[in-house]
Amino acid sequence: MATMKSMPSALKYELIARCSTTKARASVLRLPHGPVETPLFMPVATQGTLKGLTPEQLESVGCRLCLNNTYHLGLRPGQIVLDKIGGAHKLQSWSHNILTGEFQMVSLLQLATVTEKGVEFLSPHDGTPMLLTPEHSISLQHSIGSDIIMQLDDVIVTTSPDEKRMREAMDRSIRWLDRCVEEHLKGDSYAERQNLFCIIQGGLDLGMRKECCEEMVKRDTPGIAIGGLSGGEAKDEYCKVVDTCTSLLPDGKPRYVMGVGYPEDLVVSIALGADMFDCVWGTRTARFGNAITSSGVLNLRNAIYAEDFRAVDPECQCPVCRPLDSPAPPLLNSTINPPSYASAPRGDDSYTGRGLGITKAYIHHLAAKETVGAHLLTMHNVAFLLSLMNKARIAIVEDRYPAFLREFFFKWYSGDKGKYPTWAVDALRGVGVDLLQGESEV
Amino acid sequence: MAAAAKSGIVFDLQTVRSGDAASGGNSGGARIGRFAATGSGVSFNTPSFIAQTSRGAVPHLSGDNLRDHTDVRVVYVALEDFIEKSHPNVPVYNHPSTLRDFISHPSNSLLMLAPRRSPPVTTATPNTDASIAILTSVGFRALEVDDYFNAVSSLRPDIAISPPDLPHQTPGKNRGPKMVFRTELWLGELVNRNASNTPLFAPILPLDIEQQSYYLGYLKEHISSLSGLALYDARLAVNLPDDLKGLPRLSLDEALTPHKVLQRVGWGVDIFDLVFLTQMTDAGISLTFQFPGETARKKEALGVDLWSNEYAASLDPLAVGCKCYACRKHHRAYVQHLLTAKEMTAWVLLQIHNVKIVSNFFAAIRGSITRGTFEEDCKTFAQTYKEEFPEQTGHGPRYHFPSPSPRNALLIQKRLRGYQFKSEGGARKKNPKAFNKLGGDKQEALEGSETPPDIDAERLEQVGLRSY
Repeated sequence: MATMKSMPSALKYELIARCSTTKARASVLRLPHGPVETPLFMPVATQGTLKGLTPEQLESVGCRLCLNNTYHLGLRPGQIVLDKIGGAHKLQSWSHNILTGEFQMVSLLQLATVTEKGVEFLSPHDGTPMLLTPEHSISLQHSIGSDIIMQLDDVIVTTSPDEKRMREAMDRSIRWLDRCVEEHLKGDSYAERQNLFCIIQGGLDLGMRKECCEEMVKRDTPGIAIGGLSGGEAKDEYCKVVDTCTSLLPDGKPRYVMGVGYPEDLVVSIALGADMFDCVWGTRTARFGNAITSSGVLNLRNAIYAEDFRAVDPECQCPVCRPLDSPAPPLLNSTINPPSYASAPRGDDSYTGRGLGITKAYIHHLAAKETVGAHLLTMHNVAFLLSLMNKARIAIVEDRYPAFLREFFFKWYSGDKGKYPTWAVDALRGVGVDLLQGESEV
Repeated sequence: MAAAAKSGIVFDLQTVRSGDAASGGNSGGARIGRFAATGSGVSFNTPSFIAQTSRGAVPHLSGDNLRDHTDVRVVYVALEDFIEKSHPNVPVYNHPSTLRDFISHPSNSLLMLAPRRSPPVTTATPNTDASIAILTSVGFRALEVDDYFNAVSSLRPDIAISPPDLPHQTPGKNRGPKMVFRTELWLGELVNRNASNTPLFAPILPLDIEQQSYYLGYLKEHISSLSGLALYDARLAVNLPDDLKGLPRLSLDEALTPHKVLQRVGWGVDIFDLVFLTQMTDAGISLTFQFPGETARKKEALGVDLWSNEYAASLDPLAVGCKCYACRKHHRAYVQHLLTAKEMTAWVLLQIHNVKIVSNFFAAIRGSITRGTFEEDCKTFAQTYKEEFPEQTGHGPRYHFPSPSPRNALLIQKRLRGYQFKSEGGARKKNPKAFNKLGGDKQEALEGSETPPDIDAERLEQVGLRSY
């Protein structure tokens, strides 16, 4: 058990509004590379780039905090190069915030062995054995220089029936948090520039989750993540875990649910009191030709879109969907920093963020044949998720989040309430919203 | 010099440097011109270049990057990229508006339509009097020239190239005249049926000038219907009749290096199709040449292979002194990282950069011609830079090879992009699988040590089997 040194924080969490019905919250989160607003979706730029997009295209859709993966950057370009270059911001020329995601040991578990020392695995590049310890993980994230860093945790699939192993993983994650905290507080005042988040484990066992929350909250990290979820568990179980954890977590800190990114999951999790989310789904599905729109996910490779000459999502304000050459709209959120290209001298060949007027038919024409199709849909999907979060936020501030939820589901399922998933209806009932009742549909 | 053009394209020939040693003909010599499309207001100075597209997109560049970060003023679009389906179901034909709207093309560059990509993939069947053999994403088929004429009218590109009849091999005694006959026939049809008044470029065939002299006579007669010439062999620029001098000349033969481009500028070519542009980008090579360059003791490379580990921590721009977006905001280390991580953004940044290098190259050529120092500058360039681009070591955007070991060199050489490649019976998979079973490596290694089946026989004889 750690000595409980007081933990410095390099962020400020300002609660702006709270929904009077659900547990939803809106805040401004001030981070070392500028403020962001929650609820917040963070796109995943695993290897220091969001698949095919330039940093300015990512900025143009309002992103000010994206993820990098510690494990991937640690292997390539590697810590030595990161140190030489001066960190990940400099590597990818990203002047906004970075969060370094966890090592996703769940997906790699078959290839890795977890011991008290750390995680042992074979390098996917040259097959040499490697050991990743909590100390090494933190040291890597120091080299990366991310604004939010995550502890190393022992993640096992939540659906694992092995209760003993689950408890071991949870206990070990707490012990590893202590080692991470200690490493983080060493040396060069990293803790004043980078925020360490703990990761609550405990599978689907609410008792264990409670225990883990209590222990980890004591460590007083600047932010708290709920981990191990989104790995194939039943959605109602997922909701119970999030709901349980948020009730035990302090008000004044951001809560990050890892690996969540389906629009329905996002809006429900917000109602359950979560603030931050990340997921590769939106960008990955884009590369398969799927567009996320307010009326659901459309597979634009389907022949029915071959002659659909309308915007990908006519309601969307992203550069892809706006008419060709239409001027860039105002910033998505009022508090965020302007994009880096805004300060470039005019007449220069700088990015304009003007519209592209892309139709479903053109994406259909490109999808899976030219990478430009993937770039465009990736940009749109990220824009959609960020804008969804922004709309949710406005609804919370105006205290009409329940109505927002009803409207969202109504559109998403094209008005067919019979299609609403039971887990979502039940979870929202638990926080005072009945999706099936209200008449306030669009 | 008066412009010979109608309906939308005005070409003003401003300077002609004749007497160029390389030209020798009456029509050769480097030229400066101004090419303007009256309707859209897009204009640019020549010599200049066009960018190839694949399915309407310049490879790696979404419309915003093309519009905001490049000086591309003309893109070349092939109809064969749009017509997989049979006629009534072709989406681009059913679009209420134009090709430009269908692909949502940025307004600051012109669209040039042609039946086939450049260079085209060789087809199995020959052209006929009424059709051209094409390759779509679903396979080979014939495009009726009638359909192409209708497409020109309905799609309303800014420029259309009249279909040339190009055979697969060097034409024999009978094929040559047939090429001329068909090309003239098709041009005549297109001129007559050009309801939308689309500016037309007439093809000049890769035959001796004498073989197509009647056709050239025909072009002279119809010069008022033409806006330019598309040369399938740039050498012909020097021998073109004087009457056709006022037309801008696009060269569609493969100018594979900047040295070859300079040679062709000397022949009097105005607009270039630069095949090497996307090729170098795909290869992970950042172009670094400038015109004319400064002669040093050792010849400089035309580009830098950013796959090299040497740049892993290099904060230098992709080319020293370059002002493109990629060089202003990024560095070699990032592109090197993205290439080795096989991230698409690598090729986006490289393409933005390489286009800029090429734009600057042409701007410097124009300056040089204007100053009257072009010939001299070409000599400097030849002394400054190596003849060829650096060898490609990495693989292209869609290719994964187990290792860049010499054993795989031949496979790597055969890198091909997209669906637009010729498939051969019994060929090995182009992309070896990326994900392999744990512990399966031994078996792989054994299989991998076999002689690559697509190594050509001649090479095999030279090196023998054992070195593989």
